[in-house]
Parts: sequence; structure tokens; C-alpha cells
Amino acid sequence: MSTRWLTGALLALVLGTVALAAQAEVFDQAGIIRPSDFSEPELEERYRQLGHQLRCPKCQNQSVGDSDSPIALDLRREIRDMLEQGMTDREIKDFMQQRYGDYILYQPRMQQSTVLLWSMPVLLLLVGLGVVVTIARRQRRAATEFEPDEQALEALLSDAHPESGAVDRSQRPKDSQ
Amino acid sequence: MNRFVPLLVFVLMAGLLYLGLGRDPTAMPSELVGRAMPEFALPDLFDAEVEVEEDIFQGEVSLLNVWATWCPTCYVEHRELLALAEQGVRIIGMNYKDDPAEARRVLAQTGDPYAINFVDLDGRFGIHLGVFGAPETYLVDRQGKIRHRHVGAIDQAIWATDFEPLYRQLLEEGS
Repeated sequence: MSTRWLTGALLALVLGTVALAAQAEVFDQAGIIRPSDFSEPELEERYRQLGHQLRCPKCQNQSVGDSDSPIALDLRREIRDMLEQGMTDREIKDFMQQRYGDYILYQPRMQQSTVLLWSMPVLLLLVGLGVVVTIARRQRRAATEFEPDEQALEALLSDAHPESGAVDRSQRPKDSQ
Repeated sequence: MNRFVPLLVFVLMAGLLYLGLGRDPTAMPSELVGRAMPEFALPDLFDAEVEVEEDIFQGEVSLLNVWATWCPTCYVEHRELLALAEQGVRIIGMNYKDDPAEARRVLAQTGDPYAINFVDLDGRFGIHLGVFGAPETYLVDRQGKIRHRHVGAIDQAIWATDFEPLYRQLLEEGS
């Protein structure tokens, strides 16, 4: 019983530390950019968001906001400067895309080369729905298109029980005609 | 007829995925290929009073090599650059986010393949070029237009396959 408590406490400690460390993204090495570096709080908020919308060109699994690589530090400084100069988010992303290419944006822009990328999920969904509907319709048609041979049915019924027309299942059906 | 549909779908997917295997997921092709070298005015490595500008690329085919003393791969590349300079290839150096005094010392020690060397101290110009590490090398034509970029060290094989054909072609252009 006590080991379970110990494990739980240890786990909580580890998770707590991890959570705190995640908050520590603000302390980025030599290129520390503090909230006080911004003339207005909205700029700092936009800075944070842009940091998460751009991919680090060097450490490509991280965003510019999270990465510690030198280029990410440089880009963060550049973003801060551009925000202070009054550039819009769109202009800042354009600036980055013109120098580092489409890949620096996490969300690819809608353009000729990405139309297929964006529309493929919807298209596949429609195709899938089409297939399902076609199959369902075909099955239903097969079920409803079955028309029993009336004459044979009549013959069977009357052969079995001439008076009542009920079918006696203990008897083997005679061949028609 | 319908029985072949799953097979067709499989073949199609297998083909596409096979093509995907050959692609480099980390590739970041330079946006600047086909565009003019961006403007700059940066100090010469050997004389901080002298300003080097983008017009040094006019009139001659050149390589722009982004290098630094903190970059181990640059030392590996250095021998190849010296060999290329020997053959007459014009190499412009950009000392990137480095200590200029240290850079001068290293060049004195290992040899200087650069026709001109300028300093990008804080990396701002590097951002305009789309640089994200060292070494990187750009091939620039006579009009100052960037025609190719290579990320990483250049060795004989890479020069022969990625650079030489285009380099020869650019020498022919407008001569």
C-alpha cells in the first residue's frame, strides 16, 4: 500500500516538473525576449502566436517559438522587430515565406500547388460516401427485385394441402408439373 | 470488372508511396533561386572601414560561401574550397555570426580561398538569404542572380554533380 503512494507521489513530482519546464519556454538562452521587450501587451501575444505558427528551419520538428537553435533565436528577434515596426501578421508570414519557402509555415497556404492537398480529404470523403451509397442501393435493389414465381408457389401450396393451402413441412415438396 | 478495383487501388497507392520514399522530407529548397542577390552593405572581414555591397557579384560568376569558425563542417569543406579557388573559381565568403578576429586568425592558419570576405555579425543578412546554418553555398551568375544553393559541405562529388555543369554554363552566358 505504501509503495503505491510513493509511486503516485513520485509521478506527481515528475509531471509537475515537466509542466513547469514547459512554461519555461520564455527563458530562451542568450536571445531572451521578455514581455517587457514589447511596447504593448498585444504585440507580445501576437509574438507568441506567430512563434507557434512558424516551423524552425533547422530543427524542423519544433516551432520557431520552441526551438533553441541559433536560427530560431534570430527569427524570434526578427519577428519582435517586425512587430514593433507595425507589420501585420500576414506581412510577417509573407516575409518568412519569401525567404524560407512554404515549409516554414505550419499551415500551407491555399495556392496552385496546394489545392489538391487541401481538397483531397473532402474529395476522398465524397468518393467514400458515393461508394457506400452505390453498394447500399445495389443491395436494396437485389432484395426488392426478387419476385417469386407465382405459379410454382401456387402449385406447391395446393399439392401439400388441397383444402387449406397450408404447407406441411414434414412432406418433401413434389416437383412442379 | 469490379474484382480488379481493389487491386488497382493497391497498385496506385503502392506506386505513390514508392515515389515518396525517394523524397527528402527535410529538404528546404531555396526560395531565392532565380532571384537577384538581396541588397547589403556589410564590413569587409579584413578592413571594417570598407563596405562590401551586392554589386561585387556583378560581372563575374561567383560562389557565395556562408562560413564560420564555430562550424566544424566548414573546416572539412575548406580544403575543397582551396582546391576550387586554385582552379580559378571566384569564391566570396560571408563570415556568419562569428568573431571576425577569430575568423582572420583561422584563415591565416588554414589558407584563404576567398576573393572577398565580408561579415554578417548578427545574422540579419543571412535571414534575407534564407540561411539556416553553416556551411551553405550559393552559385551566383554574372547579373548577380542566384542560380543554385547547397546546404552542407561541398566535396568533389557534390561539386561535380551539383555545381560544375551549371557553373560552366554560367561562364558561357554573356561572356
